[in-house]
Amino acid sequence: MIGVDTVLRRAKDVRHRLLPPEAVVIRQTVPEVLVLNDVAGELLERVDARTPVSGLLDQVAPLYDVDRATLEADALRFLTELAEAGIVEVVA
Amino acid sequence: MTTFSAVMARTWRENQLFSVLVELTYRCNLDCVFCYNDLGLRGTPLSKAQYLKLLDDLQAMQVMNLILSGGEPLAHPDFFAIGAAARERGFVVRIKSNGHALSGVLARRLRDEVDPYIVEISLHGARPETHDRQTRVPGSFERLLENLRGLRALGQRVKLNSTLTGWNEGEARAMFAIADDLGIPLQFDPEVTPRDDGDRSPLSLTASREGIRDLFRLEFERGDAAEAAAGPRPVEVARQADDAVPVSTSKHCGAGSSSIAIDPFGNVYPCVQWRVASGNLHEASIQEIWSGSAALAKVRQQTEEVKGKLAGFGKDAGLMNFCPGLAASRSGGDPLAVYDGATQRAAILGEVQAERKVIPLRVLETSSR
Repeated sequence: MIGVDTVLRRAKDVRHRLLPPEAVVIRQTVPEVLVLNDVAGELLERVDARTPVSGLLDQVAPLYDVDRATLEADALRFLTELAEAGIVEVVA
Repeated sequence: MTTFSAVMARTWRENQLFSVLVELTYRCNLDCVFCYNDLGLRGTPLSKAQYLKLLDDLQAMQVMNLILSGGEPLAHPDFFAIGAAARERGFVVRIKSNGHALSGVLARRLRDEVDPYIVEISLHGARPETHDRQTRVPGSFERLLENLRGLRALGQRVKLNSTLTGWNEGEARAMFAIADDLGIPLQFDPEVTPRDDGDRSPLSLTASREGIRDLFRLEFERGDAAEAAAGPRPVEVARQADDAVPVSTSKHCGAGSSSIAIDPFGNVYPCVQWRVASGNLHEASIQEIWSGSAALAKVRQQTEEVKGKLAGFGKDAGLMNFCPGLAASRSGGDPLAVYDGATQRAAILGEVQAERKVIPLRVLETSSR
């Protein structure tokens, strides 16, 4: 279960680039290409194995004209999907 | 949901650089008869520091694919430093190699330090006599097979590329058998190209019309077998992390729009096969060249003109595999000049497709009983 205190890292085989309004993710080992929306892409860009999800939200919030609760709900959903897809892993 | 094809189309349309091919060196440990490199080209090679700056710039530009080529890229003294730096900067790294040196420690270093998405290796025949005739290095065929087995054992993803020639056209089926046995995909290119300096002598190795037709038949046969074995396909899952994904835009290709090539001396071109001088990294950064090169701007326009011209060929346009770069090199500079190889390919492919639409006689006999 991913929450605002969860710390995440990108899986070792993940390569990604931001091509607004999307992000492209390539998993080297599968191999598989995924296209993410911009919010998920910006979050993935900031995942660093140190910053909790709340910190990621602090960084991303200024980019979007949306209230914090909505952003948090969307972010947790996106990050959960990324974790289920093996793109991010829970560190703590 | 946006598909990868749609994203690729946008890179073409909006001139978003996505793939960069870097020819690190023209040095090579083989001596292929039809090598397309311009071995007479002179200049100051890019330094390691310049390569690292280039990688920083390309990362900032959100370039995803980095292809390290040559010559033989592993022959560059800084290959591992550049490859590792590319990995650290998050590129999807592809290596185009002849595979001759990829054994033992070197193969393991490649996997561990560069971690390439794929290593593409050239196979020139199914027999030592054929392969070694092309490479002009005795023993290169047997050594390649051994190295391919080693790479597979290491878990490295590998792809074989082959140019169909008059020398190997009778061995295509046997070459596929070798590839299948190794568990490695093999892709043929039926077209021999002139050298980058304009020398057309490699064209004497061009495969015969019958050889090209037999290859297409074989590829259809293999495609049918693979499709039958695979069963129904899922609706759409992008599986190709490269520009092989079908793209629909007003441009014929992504040359100069989403991809470029760079030679060992820092010269920038729209494509490895379309070598229009577009800038030099000794004189300007890749960002400056990408946004300011008049040559690249012209090429982007020309890819639209090519698309318009080919539309006049109707359904044959899709069968031609037309390359504006090849057109330019064969015609003395006109990327719109339709060349014989393209029209011949369309004609042969059309014939083979037509054959497939004819119900075989034996099937009729069977069904009538």
